[in-house]
Amino acid sequence: MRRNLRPLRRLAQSVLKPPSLNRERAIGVSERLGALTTLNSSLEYLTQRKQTGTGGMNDWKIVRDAQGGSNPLLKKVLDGVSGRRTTTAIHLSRAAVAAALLMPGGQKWRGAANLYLSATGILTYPRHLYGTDGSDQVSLMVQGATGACRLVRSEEGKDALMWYLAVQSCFSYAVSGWVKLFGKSWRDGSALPGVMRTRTYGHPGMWSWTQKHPQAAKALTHGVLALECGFPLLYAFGGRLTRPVIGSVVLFHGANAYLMGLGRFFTAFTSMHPLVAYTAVPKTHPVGARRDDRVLPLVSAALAAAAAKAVVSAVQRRVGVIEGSPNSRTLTAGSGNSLQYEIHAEGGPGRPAVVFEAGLAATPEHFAWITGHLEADTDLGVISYARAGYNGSIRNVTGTYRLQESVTDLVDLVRATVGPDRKVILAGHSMGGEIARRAAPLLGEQLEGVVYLDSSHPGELERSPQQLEMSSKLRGMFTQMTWFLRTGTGSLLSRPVWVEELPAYARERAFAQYADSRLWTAAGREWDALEADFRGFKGDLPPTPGRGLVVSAQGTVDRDPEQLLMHDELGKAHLEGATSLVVEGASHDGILSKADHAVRAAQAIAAFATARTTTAPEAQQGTVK
Amino acid sequence: MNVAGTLRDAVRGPGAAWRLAGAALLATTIAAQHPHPLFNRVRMKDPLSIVPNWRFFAPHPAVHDSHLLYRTLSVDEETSEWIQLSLAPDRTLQHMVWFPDRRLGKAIFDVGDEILRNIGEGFPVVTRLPSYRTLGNYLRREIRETSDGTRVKGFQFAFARSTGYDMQEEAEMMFISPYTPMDPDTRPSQVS
Repeated sequence: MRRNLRPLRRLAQSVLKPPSLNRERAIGVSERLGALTTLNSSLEYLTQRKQTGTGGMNDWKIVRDAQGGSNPLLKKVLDGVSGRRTTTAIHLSRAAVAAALLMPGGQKWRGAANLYLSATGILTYPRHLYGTDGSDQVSLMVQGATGACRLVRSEEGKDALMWYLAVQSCFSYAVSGWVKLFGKSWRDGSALPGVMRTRTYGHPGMWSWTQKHPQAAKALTHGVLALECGFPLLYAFGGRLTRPVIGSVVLFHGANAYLMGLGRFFTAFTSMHPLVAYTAVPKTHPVGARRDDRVLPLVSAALAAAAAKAVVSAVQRRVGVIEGSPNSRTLTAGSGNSLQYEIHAEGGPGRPAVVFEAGLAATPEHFAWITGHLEADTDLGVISYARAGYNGSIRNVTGTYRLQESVTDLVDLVRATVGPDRKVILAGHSMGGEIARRAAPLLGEQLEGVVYLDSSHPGELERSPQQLEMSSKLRGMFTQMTWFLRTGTGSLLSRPVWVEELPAYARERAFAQYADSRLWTAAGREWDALEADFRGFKGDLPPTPGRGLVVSAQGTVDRDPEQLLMHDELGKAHLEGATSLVVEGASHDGILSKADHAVRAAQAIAAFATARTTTAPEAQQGTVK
Repeated sequence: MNVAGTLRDAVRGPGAAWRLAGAALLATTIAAQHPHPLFNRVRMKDPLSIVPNWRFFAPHPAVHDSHLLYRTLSVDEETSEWIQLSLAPDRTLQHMVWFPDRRLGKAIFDVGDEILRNIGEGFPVVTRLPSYRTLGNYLRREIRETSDGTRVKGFQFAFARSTGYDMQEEAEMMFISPYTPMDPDTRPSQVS
């Protein structure tokens, strides 16, 4: 029996027919959908005017402070449009202009109207900082480009602008899809049920369905991923996939509007589709034949140039990191590791030398405020160094890393840099405190004491729920950072606050190490060892020779009372007694990076060193080598 | 035409300025989409948010509901129970096209996110953030508008998270603020 397949063939032909949208129609549909988004958005703001006054979620008197990095002129302009009455007037005018754009009108008028909506959208975005979303960004972008399209005379210029929006539309899906692949819940299919269970963006019926049909829910999650990642493929096969792909994403946005309450996203994102359809018209069609596609090679060239610059920057950064500071020196420890160190101050005769041990994923520059203060205001010897794998220190040991490797390296460093008759104070931050504590018994009579700067405690993973929770995230972060930096994207890292808080001379070197994959590789290796070592630690700390100085950050002990107990135990383990200090207002990193907190810590170290000098001056002999 | 010739042709003639500007903006857009939030150098230089962020629900979607709660201390030194503000109204079909309350819910989600991201810096830093001050003032107004608002001298607020319709997991407290006086000019102090 033969079936009549003609209707099916006809349906397939119509679905797979390449688009044939011309320029004028594409712009017209796009700007109307954009206008609908703006109309909706401005009416929303007009009904929520209470939020722009005192006590509102967007009170400009407060929100303007979020524009800290903006230049004064921009702040003035934003102040000008952000008064309550002005904001209301702007939204009234935006709603009126958007409504008018839904009607027919002249080319120039429509162009100016679109540009007005885009400009006011950009200027009011900071004013409504809390509560804006992606649909706002899309509409100001679409209106800027379609407005310019209306006013530009050359067809080539119009096509460049239309390609701009079409490529942004491809990015909007492809970037979202590919970045989702970095999230475990998207890969294992649990993301969709996870979102649907929330009252904010979910839906009870849909969530219930995902629970009854887990395999189908997983397939749907992966289907969404495939649709987003593969969106740009609509340009393949002579445009035959354009209609099915755009149709699928329209359905996707429709479902999001209903299930997630993202109605504005429907009109915002579909407003880019006419431009996609126009640019996907094949060259064999008269519309496609006349279209100017020359922006595409420029986009490819710009991306290639940016990638090349990023790789060159990464190589330069690595070379600078390995080279170290102009005053750095190198020694080979008994383990074979090559250690880069710096003697900041020789110190006075008979005065102790303080040797600093950095924390996990940290740099010797973290101690810059403290070493600078001790160098300028005391006659102590001051030495900092980088553990193997950090900065210019090379790890030559081939076996699995254990904390003991760093402990013996530290002892070798002390033996090589501090005269045998001179007393030594080990000062460690975070994990560096634990390495210092373990190195202390190995220094014998040479040890004066140990300074714990918001130090780790071997029992912290067992006793502190906060540390345990953080530990589950740290390893993943170290791995991700390593790979992102190895792929040359370090140029995209913004400077963290702690770098900007360091003394100016230390910032570049600290940031270079932070943006180099070696630091994160070393941190990952050390974390594995630390976690294996700390897990299962029970009981008391073994007695530690010498004196102890425990300096805690208030933020650390405030958030977790168990930390205060553990810091107390670090001090009590010292055979010659200990003193302690909580630096008010300091955080775990801020105790080193913020000048006032670090100087408090440095003063405490200086007093700690002096305390013994006054009681046992005969022990203070030797020099820093 | 070779690559150099193609590029030479693209940077000349009518529309060249638009092509160059478009290519530069598209490359900038890609540079601003890094999966890791620390790689946000481009975004930090974009105070007007002109460069779009296409990482919707990526790489980690929000799978929890945020809850904003507060409790008050009256002039008679009486502490109230924790009171939850409603942030996510029950969804209706109308929300497909008209959902102005979404803005307020999103705003409170945004300020909560900023506060939680900075909590490691400690209260002295967090309490100076625009998000924290915004929320403080928002709650002052909410409390004043309640029936016994005039008898309140201070409050504390908290962020909790829950799994929404999934009732199998307990709600979890994420952040509890220090005591905050109703008069913003009064120096806040911490309560245990």
